[in-house]
Amino acid sequence: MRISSKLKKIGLVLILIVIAFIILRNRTIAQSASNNFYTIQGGEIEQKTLTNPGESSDKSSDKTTSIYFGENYQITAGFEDVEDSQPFSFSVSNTIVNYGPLTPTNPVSRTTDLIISKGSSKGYSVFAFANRQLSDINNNSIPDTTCDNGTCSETSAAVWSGNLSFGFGYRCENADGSGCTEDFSKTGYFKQFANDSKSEAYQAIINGFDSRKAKIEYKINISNNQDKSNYSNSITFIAIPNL
Amino acid sequence: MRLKSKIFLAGYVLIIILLFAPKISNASGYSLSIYPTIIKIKTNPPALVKTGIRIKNLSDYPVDLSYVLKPFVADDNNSGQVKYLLYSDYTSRNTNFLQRVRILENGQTISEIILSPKQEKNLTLLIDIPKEEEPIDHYFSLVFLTQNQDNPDSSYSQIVEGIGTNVLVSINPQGYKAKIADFSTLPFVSGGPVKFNVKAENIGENFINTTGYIIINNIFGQTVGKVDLAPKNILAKSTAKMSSRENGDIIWPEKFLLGTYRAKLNVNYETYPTLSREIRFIAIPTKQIILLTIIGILIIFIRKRIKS
Repeated sequence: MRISSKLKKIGLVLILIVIAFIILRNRTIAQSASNNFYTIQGGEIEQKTLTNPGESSDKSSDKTTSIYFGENYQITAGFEDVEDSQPFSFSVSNTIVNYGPLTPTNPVSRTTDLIISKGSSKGYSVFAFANRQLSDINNNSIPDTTCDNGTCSETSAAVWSGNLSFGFGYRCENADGSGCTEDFSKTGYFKQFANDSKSEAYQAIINGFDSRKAKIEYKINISNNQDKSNYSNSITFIAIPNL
Repeated sequence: MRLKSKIFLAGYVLIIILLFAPKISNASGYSLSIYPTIIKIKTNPPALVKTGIRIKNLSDYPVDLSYVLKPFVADDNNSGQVKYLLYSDYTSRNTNFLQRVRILENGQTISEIILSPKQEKNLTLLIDIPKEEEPIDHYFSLVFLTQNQDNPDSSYSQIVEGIGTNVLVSINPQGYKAKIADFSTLPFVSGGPVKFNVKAENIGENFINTTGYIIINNIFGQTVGKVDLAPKNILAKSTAKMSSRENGDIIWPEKFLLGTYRAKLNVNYETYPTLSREIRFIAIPTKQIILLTIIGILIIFIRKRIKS
């Protein structure tokens, strides 16, 4: 009798463990994973650990502006007319954008989500730039796209849909209202990233006045002449409050 | 039996863990917050300026941060956004001043910060300004950048997140000068809401903070509306579009308007006398007038038909 009740308890515990693991196994912590045959891209993973900065519970003081004095100086911290003291927050959804194996005339697209919470700022801009073109260890590089008609650059956008237009580019899509700059208001319009190694000016890709979410779409399309290699660069997104 | 059941239980749990446990590979994105969102400093050197900055890692992963100081000017569109200077446009004034800026953690100068998951750090911005420092303004963003060491074996882009706050520094501010660069609306409107355009220009050598309001009077001189303008920081020798406190545009929301209206703009900056400018606009509710005319014509037409 005793033994059967213990067995029941053990059985119950085992069922609970199984249920818990079945639920928890969907919690993939890895953002992207790949080998020679496949690439699992973070953009497709539903359950991200991306924190919504708007949910931050930071409230360290009642008033935004603090004016204080030191020896021979005066400091005003924060905006005079904003009543709360929420911090300005910025999230990006991945640390690596893995393009996987690249094949000629077969465009690859990947995405990054950007979430900006304006906090007690009065609007903000998000700037973007790349440290260089996508390059391999032998300094071969994938050129920045000039789009279908050869006119897009880091300052102007143009339509890029043809599989015979090659290069690397991006577009910004509003996932939540407005925010992405006017350049991207038309579907399929892409730009080049400003190239820091060529001293190109950082480009504002989002100008917002409210907390927003945007999606950055990266696109690569290589030609048959492109060397088969692994290409990489670094892309920086800087969020900064307005004055 | 006890021992057997324990072994059975342990083995079962182990198998379940091996089968279903998630594989941890790398961090999923970055999430940072910063406060305050702007720091304005006025100083008469010599001064050792110190102020606090809070930076927080909102993600579930530790993050390594470095920081850079990026000098900026006002953007050309006058909307309060910044435009970063290219390295090639840095002057010796920029570089000399930025060399005096340091970030401290617990009193020690740092170049990198490590933030644990959900950790917040209170840092100190320190600017050592000597007595002989030139009396000009300096504007820069303090930008914290994530460090990324991931190198997958394929084509990839490393993503770096940067978050910053703007720092405005006036050294020996000598006096402030501003003017209203634009105050306008449509001269004829058929109804409200009425949108005003207001631009203030800082013609002085130091940044200013402006506030203001618009008073609207009707044809009889009665005040029928007021729109408060949000305070705005305007950099030296630059112009800024003013906005309302409620939203970006300056809008008087009154819908039904008739007659001549007078709008008076008052702009205050620092402790200087108020700047003001007046404009007039005429409101004719054309839609209503056309509708009434059509109704009138119809009535006359119907009456004539009935009489005849």
